[in-house]
Amino acid sequence: MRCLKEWPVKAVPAAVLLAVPLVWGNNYILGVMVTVAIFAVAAAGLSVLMNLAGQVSFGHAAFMGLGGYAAAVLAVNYGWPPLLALAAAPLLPALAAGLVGRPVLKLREFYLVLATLAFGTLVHLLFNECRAVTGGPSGLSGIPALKVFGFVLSSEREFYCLTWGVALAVLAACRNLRRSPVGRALSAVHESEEAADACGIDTASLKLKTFVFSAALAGLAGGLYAFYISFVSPSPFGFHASVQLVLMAVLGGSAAWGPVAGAAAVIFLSEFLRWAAPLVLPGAGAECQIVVYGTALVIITIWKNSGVWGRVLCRLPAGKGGKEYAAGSARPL
Amino acid sequence: MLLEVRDLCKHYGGVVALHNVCLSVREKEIFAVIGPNGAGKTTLFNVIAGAVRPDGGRVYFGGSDITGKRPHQLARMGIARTFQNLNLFSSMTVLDNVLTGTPWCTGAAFWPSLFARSKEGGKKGRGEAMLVLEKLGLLEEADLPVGMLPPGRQRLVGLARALASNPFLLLLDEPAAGLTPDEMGELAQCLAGLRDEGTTIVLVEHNMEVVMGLADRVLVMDCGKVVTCGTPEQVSTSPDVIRVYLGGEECVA
Repeated sequence: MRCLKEWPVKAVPAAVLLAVPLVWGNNYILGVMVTVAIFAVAAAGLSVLMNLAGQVSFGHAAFMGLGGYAAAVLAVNYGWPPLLALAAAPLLPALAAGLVGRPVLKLREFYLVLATLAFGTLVHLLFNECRAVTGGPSGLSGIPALKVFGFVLSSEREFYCLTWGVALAVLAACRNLRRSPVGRALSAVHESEEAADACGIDTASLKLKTFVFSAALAGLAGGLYAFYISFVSPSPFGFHASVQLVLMAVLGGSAAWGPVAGAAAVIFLSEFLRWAAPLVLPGAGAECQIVVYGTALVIITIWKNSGVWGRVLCRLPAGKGGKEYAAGSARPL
Repeated sequence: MLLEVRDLCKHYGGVVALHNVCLSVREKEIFAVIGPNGAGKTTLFNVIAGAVRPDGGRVYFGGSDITGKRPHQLARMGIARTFQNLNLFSSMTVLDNVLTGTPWCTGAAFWPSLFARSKEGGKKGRGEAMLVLEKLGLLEEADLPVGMLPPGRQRLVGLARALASNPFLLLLDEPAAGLTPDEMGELAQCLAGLRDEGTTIVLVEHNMEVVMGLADRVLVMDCGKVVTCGTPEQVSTSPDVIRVYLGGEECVA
């Protein structure tokens, strides 16, 4: 009953907020918001992996890339219907995560960071070098427009609806997971793997499933990205993007809306830097952004806070989000 | 015999931690393992609990071979353990710690939980956890963060978390460490109660008083070997045990 009374308090403002760009937004604003939604999907998976289960991945952009390339290759080279290609996009990164996860997830902390970093770099290299499949550095173009039950998505507005629909569904799934007994088991793994194991939790299998799940979500985001841009190349799926994703997950914290808040913060910051950086440093490009992200990540890690979103919610009178957050974890890393 | 250990051997480099250790634990008894520092108690405990693989020998539980099984597999078979350093989930409440030990949490399936919103299972798990808390007198602290409790109460939470899986066999690693005499008495009472309800308890302990007043049988170890095994009275008058505790002989590898 309590839930029934409470949900409009959150859902109504959220719906209004989401409707604003649809009604008044120009193509630029809609485009930025589509990017936020796409990255929120990937950040949601990474948030479950990092904030809930306490496992870090600095290679998630590779999973996004695998999803993007899988969708592009299936649609362009094999002529799959676009929607089917999009649906298949998470499978390749999920498979890769399943293969890589078992040895990699035995590692902890810095070693896990290094191993996932190495994986991300390796896959990025493959995107560049496997020219026969990926088209090398110049990428794959000519990805057909996405068709949903005979309805062709071509405008920004239509993509806005699709990507936010997907993002909301993903957020709901992650919230279900967080509140389920599995979510509790994951936060136990985060706190002490030894104790979780002794309680009867199969920690290795649980970590692997979470890794596969988060990779699949990154892949779904990659697939959406490929169809949205209608072109894939290796450059958006490198180390830079992995750091962005980690930053989104850490900034967002464990609140249900965290991934959206984190993705929005990073994408807005990136848009701002694209405009502001050349004013300060003439000729500065994307490489200066990583300096800002790195600094932000260091500061946040030192604070070990509950994520920007979690903090804001904690200060609200109801403080419910904060409580839910506290059940997750206080340690982003 | 509920638990049988046969010819267990374990060495770390040149140090012999366990050498041909045999023991058998009957159902519904409190079985204590004692010995001076470096006697191999903790290694023995960790081998039985699945945290350390032995170099040789076997462990049987209820007749089936459990040597080398992982801790979560043992937990699901009915062997629960506590930790000397407690190892509680420190950001969680008392109730959440205990909930994590219930089959509701440990047996939950990953993929369906993405789509399910129902909380009926939660009620069942909660009920089980509350029963355990009630048994140990922790009901009033159920919603407190576990870190706010004094050490003695935290030890009870560790015990409650282990009991949440309804184990046949409870393994306790130095349960009296860091407790005041009052808290120790409370714990001893609680363990005796559990035994009377049918739980078998194996504990590793430093504190002789706790062991002598509580255990049905005591195994004394020294230098990785079994010195003797018997009732507390038999053990406390055994010349071998007195030699081990007072003689101060060095282990010969």
